[in-house]
Amino acid sequence: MDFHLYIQNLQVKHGEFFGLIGESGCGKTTLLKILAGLLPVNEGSLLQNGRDITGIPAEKRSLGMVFQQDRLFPYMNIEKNVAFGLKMKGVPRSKRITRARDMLSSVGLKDLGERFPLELSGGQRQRVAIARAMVTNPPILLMDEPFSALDPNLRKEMRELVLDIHKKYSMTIIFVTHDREEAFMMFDRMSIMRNGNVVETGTPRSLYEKPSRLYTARFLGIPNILSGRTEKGLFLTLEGLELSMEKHEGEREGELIIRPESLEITQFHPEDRFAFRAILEKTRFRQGMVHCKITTHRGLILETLEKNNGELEGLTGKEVYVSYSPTDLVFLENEREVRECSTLMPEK
Amino acid sequence: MLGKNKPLFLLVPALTSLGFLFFGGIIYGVIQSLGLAPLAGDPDFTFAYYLDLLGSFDFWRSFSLTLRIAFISTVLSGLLAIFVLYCLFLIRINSKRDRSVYFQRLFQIPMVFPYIVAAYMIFLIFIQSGWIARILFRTGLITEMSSFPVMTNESFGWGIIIAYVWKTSPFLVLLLYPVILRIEYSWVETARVLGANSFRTFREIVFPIMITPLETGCFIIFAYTFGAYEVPFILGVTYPKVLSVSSYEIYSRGDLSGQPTAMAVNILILLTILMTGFLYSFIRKTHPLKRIVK
Amino acid sequence: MKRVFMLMLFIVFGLFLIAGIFPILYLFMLSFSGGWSWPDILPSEFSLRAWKYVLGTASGTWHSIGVSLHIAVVVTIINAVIAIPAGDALGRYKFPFKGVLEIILMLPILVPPIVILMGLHRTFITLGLTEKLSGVVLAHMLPTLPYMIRATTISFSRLGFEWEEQAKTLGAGRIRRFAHVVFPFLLPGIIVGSALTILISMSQYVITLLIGGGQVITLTMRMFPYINGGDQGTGAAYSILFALVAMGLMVLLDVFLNRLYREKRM
Repeated sequence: MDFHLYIQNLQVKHGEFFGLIGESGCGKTTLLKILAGLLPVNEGSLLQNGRDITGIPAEKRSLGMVFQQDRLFPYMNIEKNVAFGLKMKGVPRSKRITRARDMLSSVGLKDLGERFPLELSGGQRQRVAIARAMVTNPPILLMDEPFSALDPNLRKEMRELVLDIHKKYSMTIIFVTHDREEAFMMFDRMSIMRNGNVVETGTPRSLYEKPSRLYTARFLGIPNILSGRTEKGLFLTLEGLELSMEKHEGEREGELIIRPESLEITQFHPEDRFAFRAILEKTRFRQGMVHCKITTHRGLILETLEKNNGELEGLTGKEVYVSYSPTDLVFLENEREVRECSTLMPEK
Repeated sequence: MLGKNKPLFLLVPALTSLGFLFFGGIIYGVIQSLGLAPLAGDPDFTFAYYLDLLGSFDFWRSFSLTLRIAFISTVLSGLLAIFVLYCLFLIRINSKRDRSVYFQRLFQIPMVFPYIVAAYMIFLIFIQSGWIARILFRTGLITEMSSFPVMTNESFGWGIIIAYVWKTSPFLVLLLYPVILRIEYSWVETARVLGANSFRTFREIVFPIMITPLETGCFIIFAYTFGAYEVPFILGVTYPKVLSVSSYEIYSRGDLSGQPTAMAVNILILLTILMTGFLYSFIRKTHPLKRIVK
Repeated sequence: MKRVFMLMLFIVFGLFLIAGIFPILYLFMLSFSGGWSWPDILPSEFSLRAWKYVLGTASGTWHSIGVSLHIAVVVTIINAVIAIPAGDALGRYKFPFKGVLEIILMLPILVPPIVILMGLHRTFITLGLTEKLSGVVLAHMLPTLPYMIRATTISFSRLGFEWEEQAKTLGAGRIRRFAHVVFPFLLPGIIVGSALTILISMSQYVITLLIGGGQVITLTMRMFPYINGGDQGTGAAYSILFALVAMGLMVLLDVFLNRLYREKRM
């Protein structure tokens, strides 16, 4: 099984918290390993501050890297694990011990230096791994799904820790994940990857609100993706629902993306807003928000997300008005996806 | 049913059989070397056999020859094994499919030959008319047979050492190869990202795991080469002889009166090995050597 | 720079590999040589003389192979029977003085046989065990049993108790638990231990010589006079034969024990 990675052009800015996100097998870890120098590049080059580092082996790139598993050396105590990178750089013994201890206390593990990896919890071990990657003051820290093996509660704590570190040391971090929540919480910018290509790059917010690729919308979890065509400032879904658009697009086929929180359910037709009628099928309460499932009379099923105002539960099973603002609708032309598919398929 | 004593019960056959053979042999040796079980005459407790040996020049010549051969063989065998393991490690981490297994198997070939055959091969290849001398002659590096150095049946014991290294280094490789197999590629990757090249990865990651079995293996080799009989019998000289050869010679002489002396030599071999073991573990715990192998 | 270093490294590695294997090739050529005078690098004549003698009936080779195999197989079986319970105790239980007992059971390989041998010889004389196959078998246990115990100990420590407990809850009795759960798991360890036992037992010279008193002629005993100053070609042929017999026995052992396992699994 051959796997190819095609990256046209990807730039990470100095001091940025940059994310690589995608489903498993999309090539994000491969790309990270290429950055680290653990995998070779067939064509093209890698530049760091304008300097070509393509041919430099991993051990000479002096980047920090944290892996999914903590990968601590099991027979070295914590202090020696952390000091390992310094030892490789030839830092004298006493100095490296001091620096390892400092680093350990800044990840909140002050007195554990003498212990061995197996004596620590998973979260503690991952903290040690972060300290070990950070201790040499690398200009860039690469992180490969570092928290995916941890409990959800711990994950939150660790994200805070990494954000703190990012701020405190103002280093560039390139972080791989498949977790959307993590992406929205942490990244300044990110690339969504699929089948070895970068689908789209941007800030998490801009990608979510104005995706320019269908996959971006799907991957970021937008449930309402309607197929249809535009005509005279309207979008006509295949089912026959008409929605007003912000701009006059001409006659084109494509997909309309509606974020669930941009829809609002009311009992009556609201003034100054566009709206259509539908049946409120189901409501589900979740952490202060209400998820609703609605069906238009043409059989189209949509999801909405709104603040709980107590009214909605009483409306279940009844006909309601669903209002929207044309500025929140994103239209993506079909042709684009067709073209994308042809370039996305890796060579067999 | 047996409760707490079950493990001891399970050990009874092993302990009785090995205890009988091992202690049966040694205790008899001790008793006889102290003059308590003479084959003729009355038992008489005495250190005379030991004192005679310790006061004799011949004993010390044999002793120093034996110690030198055992020490050099062990060190060379250990160094060679480490070098081979380093190469196997490089092969393992640099090939997609782990080919180190096949090379490892090739290194095991000397193990199917007994020590006497090892000694025989070394004899044939290293004698002055042997294969190496012929190659050197053909390539013009030596002009006549006699300019090839005498390496077999000479008093330094080079032939013995070569035979031992040939035979024991595969044993060490076999013993330590599982350590190489235990090294996960993820550790190597991690070490590289942290700035370690392949040599330093071996030095820092692999070697520390290897050191304990390596010491055990080297000790086994030292003990064996210090007391082994076959190889020095074939490749040695009449004088000085290694301790085991002279002890066996004294023992198997028709004249039975030498037996206590032979036993005393054996016990001295045993004591030397034990003392070397203790000395090494003592040095290892206290000395800067500790830092070398840390 | 790095390339050159790696290349040199592997050249040295290759030389060691050759040094390990080459002498065997040399023996092989020597065993087929009919004349090989200084300073020829290859023998000048091909001859089957040495092999004809070694494999012929007059030399007694076949009988001594039988004796060697007989001893090796019996020692292996006894070792396995003793080492399985011992490995169980050392590999799976904790008990007082375990460390000391472990060292005691390893002592015979940390102490050269010659040290024990002469005392043992005297003891065996009193017990009437010298110049007999049974005595040689017993004496061969000394340098081999520790390896077998080591191998079964490692296997047992990997096995643990969980599977056996599982089998117990499924209603398997003591014997069936051993046959179906424990033994198949131990098998790879037993194979390694047996291979070492066979090799070491077949290789013994001085133990067999003293305890067997020249009456028990194993292959090693048979070939020794040729190796120690006898006819070179014959010595070489015997050396090759020894390796073939030893390897053959180990292959057989592997096949046999693995088949046993497969039948058990049915």
